[in-house]
Amino acid sequence: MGSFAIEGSKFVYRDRDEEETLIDFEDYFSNKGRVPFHTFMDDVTIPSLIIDNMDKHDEYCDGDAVKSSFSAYYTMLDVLFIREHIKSKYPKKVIEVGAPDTVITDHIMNILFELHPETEYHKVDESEIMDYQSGYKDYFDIAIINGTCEDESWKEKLELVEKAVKSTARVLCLSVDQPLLEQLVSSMSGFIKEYCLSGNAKLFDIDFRRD
Amino acid sequence: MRRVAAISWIDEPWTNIEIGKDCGLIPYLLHKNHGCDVTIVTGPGEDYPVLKYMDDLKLIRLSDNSLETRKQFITEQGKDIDLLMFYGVTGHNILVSEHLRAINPNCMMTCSLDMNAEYADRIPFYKEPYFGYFDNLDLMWQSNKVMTDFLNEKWCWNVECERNGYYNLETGTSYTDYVPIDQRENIIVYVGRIDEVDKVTSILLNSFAAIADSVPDWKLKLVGPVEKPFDEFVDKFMADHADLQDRIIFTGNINDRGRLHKEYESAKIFATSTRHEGGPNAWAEAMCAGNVMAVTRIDAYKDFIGNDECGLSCPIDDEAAFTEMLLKLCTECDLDKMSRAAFEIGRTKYNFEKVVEDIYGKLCDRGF
Repeated sequence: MGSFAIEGSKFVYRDRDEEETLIDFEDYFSNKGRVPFHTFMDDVTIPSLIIDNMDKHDEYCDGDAVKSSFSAYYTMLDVLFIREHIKSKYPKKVIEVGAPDTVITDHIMNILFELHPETEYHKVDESEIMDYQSGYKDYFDIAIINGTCEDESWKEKLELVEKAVKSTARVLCLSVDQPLLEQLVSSMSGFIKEYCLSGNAKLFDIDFRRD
Repeated sequence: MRRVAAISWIDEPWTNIEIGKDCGLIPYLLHKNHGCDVTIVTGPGEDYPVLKYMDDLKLIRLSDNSLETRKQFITEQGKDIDLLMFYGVTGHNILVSEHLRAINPNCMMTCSLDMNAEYADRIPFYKEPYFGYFDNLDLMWQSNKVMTDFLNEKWCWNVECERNGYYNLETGTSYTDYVPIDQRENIIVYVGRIDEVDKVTSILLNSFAAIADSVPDWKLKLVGPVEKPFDEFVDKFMADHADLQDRIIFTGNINDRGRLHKEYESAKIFATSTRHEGGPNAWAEAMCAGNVMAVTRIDAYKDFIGNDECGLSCPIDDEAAFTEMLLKLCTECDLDKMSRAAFEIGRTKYNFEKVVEDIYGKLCDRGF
């Protein structure tokens, strides 16, 4: 199991001897978004967006003690989402599939409100899966898979993601006790990073490349 | 005749040094080479010996350096100005530009951004008053390619690349003759403010002291004002290195442009351990004089040295690496080849008359 920490200007993930800087707030050239890493005044910054979500996480969870306890995963997800979004100044198209709860949605919407209000965010509920299967192809820049509850149709949802995202896209997946989902995600095409902060949950960061 | 004004950017007058570099040279060359009626607008408290080289350049000295007095100037004369040139993104400039827009909506505005990556990051450009300032500009430029490309990827406005070039005010041209390396002395020259906060001159001094025994026929020459409180460091350093008294030379500031150019031309290497720069004028002057470059990796460094054709670079704030770089240049590198490459790139990329011709052309394309 690894750990996730703020060290100086960096968010760092460490697992045994391996260390990865997820975002470095002094690497100014990495930020092509509009919200600054630092500010002269009291303006909103990328770190303040992340911290604001940390403060609001329990509120987003609305009494769900399990989800509240995974706050570090949600913060990592925020960091990975922001890192991807600020690679360019342009709005993105984002799809969220999986569990019906809105904890991830609340996190991301709170970020996008400042980071890029023009970014499209589609949270696909169970009844819309077929519509999205038929209506969206090569469309989304980022997919988020909310694997925080049991689901019998992970295979269909992964198929939707693989079809609906662009040929190169970023796929982020938070999985809590979902071995089938983890198995399916691990076999996606592209470069896959796996982060584990506790025994029963994993966060996947996939640089998706359609074959 | 199109009337142009260049107004100082903070609550201080233009400095003499600023008038002698891009802040003053671009307006001056718009006047000299393109026939514009140019006025430099400044406040009290500064003398301008450099103006002896800048014939017919008008100077308006406001009664004080306050924002209100600047706005009063715009109220009184803004209607007659065709182009107001700003330097930098400052509170004064933003407020003056807003006022000018109200007084004379047809007046064009330009800004030389003078950004580095850290400063660009800290500006919430999508919010007022920054958004309005940038959106009101007819032309803005950055003085190096790296930052220009970055800003164009980040911002929603077009940013042009207009490098800080070289122009010899004494001879009245950007063209210089090349002095071959074998006709130069074994001198490492530095030109600029001598301080610690931005220029980290302690690294340059310590590095030279560290290699002095290995390169006994080399000298270090520092041209520029020694700023307080760094003068205390310099005094102690020179006391601790009494054996280098004759090999480390502080000339002080040199206002004589011809003499300054000679200082570049007589040296083989230009070295700087600076931490912050936008598009450094001294680097352009050094390249145009054919100096081999020993520089830190500021945002713009590759714009100057390319892939080490014109010199070497090392990380910022890394004294050991800077020392190694200086030693390598003095003992191992083909200085003749590097010097010729620097001169050639300086001649083509950093010719200030060509830069201003490009700016003038872009202004005309936009209706100037």
